[in-house]
Amino acid sequence: MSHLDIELQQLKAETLKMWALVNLQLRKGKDSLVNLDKDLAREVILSERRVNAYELKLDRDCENIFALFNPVAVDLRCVLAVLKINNNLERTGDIVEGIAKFVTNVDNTFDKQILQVTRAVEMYEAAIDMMDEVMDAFDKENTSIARRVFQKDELLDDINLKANAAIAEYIRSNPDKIESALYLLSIIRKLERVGDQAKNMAEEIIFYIEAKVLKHRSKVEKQNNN
Amino acid sequence: MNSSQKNRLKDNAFKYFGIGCTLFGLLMLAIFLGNILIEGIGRIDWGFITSFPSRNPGKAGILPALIGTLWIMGLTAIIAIPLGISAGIYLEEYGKKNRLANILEINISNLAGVPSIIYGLLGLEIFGRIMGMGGSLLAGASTLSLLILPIIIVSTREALKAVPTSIKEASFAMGASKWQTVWYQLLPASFGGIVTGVILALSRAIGETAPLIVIGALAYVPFVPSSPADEFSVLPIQIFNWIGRPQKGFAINAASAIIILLLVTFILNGFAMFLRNRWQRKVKW
Amino acid sequence: MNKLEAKNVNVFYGAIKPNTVTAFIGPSGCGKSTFLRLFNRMNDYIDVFRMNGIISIDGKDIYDKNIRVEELRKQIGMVFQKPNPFPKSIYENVVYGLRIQGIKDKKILDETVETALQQAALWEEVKDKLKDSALALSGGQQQRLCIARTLAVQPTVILMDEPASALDPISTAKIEDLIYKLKSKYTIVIVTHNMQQAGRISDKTAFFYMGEMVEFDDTKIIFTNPKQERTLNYVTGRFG
Repeated sequence: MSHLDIELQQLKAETLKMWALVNLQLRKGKDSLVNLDKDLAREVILSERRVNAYELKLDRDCENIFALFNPVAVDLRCVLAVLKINNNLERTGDIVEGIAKFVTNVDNTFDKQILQVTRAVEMYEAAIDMMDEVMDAFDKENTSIARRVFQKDELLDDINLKANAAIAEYIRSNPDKIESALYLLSIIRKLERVGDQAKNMAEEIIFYIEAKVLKHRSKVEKQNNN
Repeated sequence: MNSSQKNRLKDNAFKYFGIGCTLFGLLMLAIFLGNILIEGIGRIDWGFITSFPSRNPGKAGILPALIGTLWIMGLTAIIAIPLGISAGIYLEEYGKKNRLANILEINISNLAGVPSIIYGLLGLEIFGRIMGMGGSLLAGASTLSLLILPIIIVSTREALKAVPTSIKEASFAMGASKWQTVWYQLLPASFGGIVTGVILALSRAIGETAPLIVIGALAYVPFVPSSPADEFSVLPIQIFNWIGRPQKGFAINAASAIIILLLVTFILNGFAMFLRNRWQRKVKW
Repeated sequence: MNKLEAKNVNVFYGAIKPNTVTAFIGPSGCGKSTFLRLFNRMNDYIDVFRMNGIISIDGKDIYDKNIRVEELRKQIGMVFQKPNPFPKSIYENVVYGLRIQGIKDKKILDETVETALQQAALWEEVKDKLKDSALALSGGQQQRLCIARTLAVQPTVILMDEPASALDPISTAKIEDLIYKLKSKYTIVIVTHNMQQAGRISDKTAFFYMGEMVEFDDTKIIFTNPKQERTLNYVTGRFG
């Protein structure tokens, strides 16, 4: 195995570690939301610093590999993909931090029923699923796993679209819970963005392995372009 | 006629001129050899080689001169080869490249060009008189050794120079001393070149007459020399002596002796060529 | 403890740590090869050679009068630009260093040949033709043989003077892998024209220009954020 191969392997291992941390953050964020566990939410906010540290390290590693090894072809795409995935993961980390901040801010009057009405928990679980799958795809370098993610994103989009109506309906019947409702709406928006990040990462993985650019294509094209 | 045609013409003109020059040399050699062969080949028989010189050209032979030549060759080789190769190695590998070395180098090259009779005078004074060897084989061999030393030294140096520096550096970098590098790398690699030089030098020595006459080699030797202290004759002197006689028979004897002398020289040269080809094939860079 | 140290040799102040690869880069004629040759005293053969300053290995000055240069060179091996195997068999090439030390025991020699060739990643290719001439090998194999020959005398430091510049890319990659593997046991100093090569294999890089060492730092720093403008111009290819 060449020196560059070893470096790339280490880079991927680091990326997977960061990824696992971000996914753990997502799960903790969900638990804190479902149980309104403010301690857990604060833990999530604290751990965000570790995600940031990973981001800086991966950035530097990528820079060094570019400078020292001048990777080409699949090696080049690997480092480019890691660079962008790194960015996506960091964003995801920020989003989770945002969700956790909401959890720490809500007061005890928060109505858990609203979670059911808007299918927010279902959406959250789907987002975590997506992240897990993309991570799996990266780990196994398997593009068919990555392609499945595009389909899952439809569910997120669907819930997101219907959330407006559901929230409006909820507010009409519970005018005193407007604040909770607005919190939740912004959480749903954030989850939708988690889905987008996962999708972007799936695109990067396909770019890395198959050298195909899927950005700005329709979903049907993405799923069928093998 | 344009310039490229002109150039072509010149090119061809030189080619034919060159062929002419070469043929001239070859023709002269052929005439010489043919002449000698026609005259002398009939006289060569076992008796000619194994008889002593005689006043009767029909009975005269070259035994003492041939044996004397072989003695001289052997002794010269024993004296000149170690001296010449050692000096060559020293000058090439050990000696510092300073002004003294330059002067030495020029002088050695000059020595190779000194007329051989001068060496004879030197040998006569140093070996014959001062060291008291008289007209012995040893004195003759020592004198001839002096004569061919510069050739051996120069050819040894050239052969050593032809060994790539990279081999020398590799050996030094492995922790080898100078002597180890010379012994394990340089000498084996330059062996072909050195041997060729030595043999060519010896084949020059074989034909030398003047220095040996000067130190007192005899024209008439009625015995076979048996030790380095004995007096002697050599083939060229025998030939010289016979040529000077008025009888026709001796002229034929001379031609026959020349054939024998040429044969010895050709054998030596052939051997040199064989060694050179063999070693060149073995050592490639 | 520093493995190699050079002080005040024309403005150079640097120290080379054990088990690292240090690369000397710079344009042709900048003095990097000459500098490398100071470490095993290969410049001693240049009649006008003269050195000021101190070079030491394990704290000992190698230009000290009491140092025997042959011993020094057993400790500091060298691999040259052009593969230069001796015109002998593969086996004899590897054992040369032992033979000149007077080692005759066949068992030791055989073992050394196998270990050294394995370390140089050449054993599998030549184990059935050890008696064949080394000159029949390909250029890349010859260079690995030269590395094996150097390893056979168990040096602690290996100096390499552009070891891959005469080789094709595949052989070059093999030599680079080899250097990377050898790092765990040896201290390696390598001169290279090829900047990318320095980036790929070295931990530290020294940039030479006009007989002077301009910058000496971690390879990562030299290639991402050099401190000297001349170094920056050189590594970015904007030289002159």
